[in-house]
Amino acid sequence: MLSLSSEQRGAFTVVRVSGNLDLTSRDQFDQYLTQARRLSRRLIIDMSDVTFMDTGCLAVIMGHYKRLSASGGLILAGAQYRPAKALWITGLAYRLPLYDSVDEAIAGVGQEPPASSADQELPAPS
Amino acid sequence: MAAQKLGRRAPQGVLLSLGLGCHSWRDRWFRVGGGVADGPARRARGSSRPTPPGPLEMTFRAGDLPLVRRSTASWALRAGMAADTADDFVIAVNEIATNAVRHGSPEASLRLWVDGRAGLAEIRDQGQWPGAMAPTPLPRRAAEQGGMGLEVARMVCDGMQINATKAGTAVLLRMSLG
Repeated sequence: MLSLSSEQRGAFTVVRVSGNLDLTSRDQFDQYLTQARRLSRRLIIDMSDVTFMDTGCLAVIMGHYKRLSASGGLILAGAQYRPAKALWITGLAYRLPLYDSVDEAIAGVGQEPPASSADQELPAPS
Repeated sequence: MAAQKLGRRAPQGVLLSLGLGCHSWRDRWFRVGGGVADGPARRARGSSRPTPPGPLEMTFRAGDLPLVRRSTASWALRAGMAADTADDFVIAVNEIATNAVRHGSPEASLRLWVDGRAGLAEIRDQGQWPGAMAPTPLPRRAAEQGGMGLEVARMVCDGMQINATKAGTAVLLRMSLG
C-alpha cells in the first residue's frame, strides 16, 4: 500500500511518500514523480513514512534524479536506515543528496549552491 | 492469494557445498537423498538456543510481496537471526522474489528452512530472467536501469546460487544464524 501526496514549499515541490515502495507500487511511484517533474524542476521526496524500499523503486528515484540534475534537482529527505537500507547497500546513499528532514533540505540547499556534491570532481589528493 | 503452509513438509534434501568455488551450478547444486526427519529439531538439553522453526512454504504473486516480506521476517527472527541480519535476509528474499514474478512467471514459490547453522531460502519460478544464466556477473549498468536486485542479494547474503534451466529459475540464498 502506497500513499502519495505533494505540496509546494517555496521553490520546491515536496512529494510525501507513505508505505511500501516495491514492485506492487513501482509504476504508481514512477508516474507520480513524472507528473511532479512536469510541475516543478526542484523536487524533495519526503521518505519519513516509507516502510520498505526495494532496488526497483530506488532505480526509479535515480532515473528522475538524473533527469532533474541538469535543470533543477531532486533531494531525498527523512530516509530511515532500516526501511530504506537499499540506499546504503547499493552505495547510492552517498551519491544522492540526503537530508534528515524536509526543513533541513530546504535550508541546506538554500545555503549550498549544488544540489549534490557527488557530481563534482573530487579534489586532488594533497 | 498466497497459500501458506507452516512446517508441514520435511526438507527435500540437504544442500551441500554452498559457496564453494566450483565451475558450474551443476557442480555446486546437488542434493543427497531424503532421510531428513520432519518437524522441528529437538532442543538439546541445557541449550539456550530456541527450537528452530519448521520449514515455511508459500506460493506468491506480485501482490503478495508484502506478505512474503512479513512471513520471511518473522521466520528469520524465529530461526535465530539477529534483527539486522533478518532485515538483510528479507531484502534479499524480496529482491529475488520480485525478479521471479516480474521476469519468471506470474506465480512463484518460496521455501525457507534451517540447515545446520544457516537459514536457507529457495525461490522458484517457471521462467527465465535476464542475467540469471550468465556464467559471470553481467556488466554493470547505470542504477536507473534497474537490475540491482541480484547484486544486492549476493552482497547481503552469505551465499547465493542460481539454478537456471529452460523449466524455470531457482535461486538459493544462505544466511548464517548468528
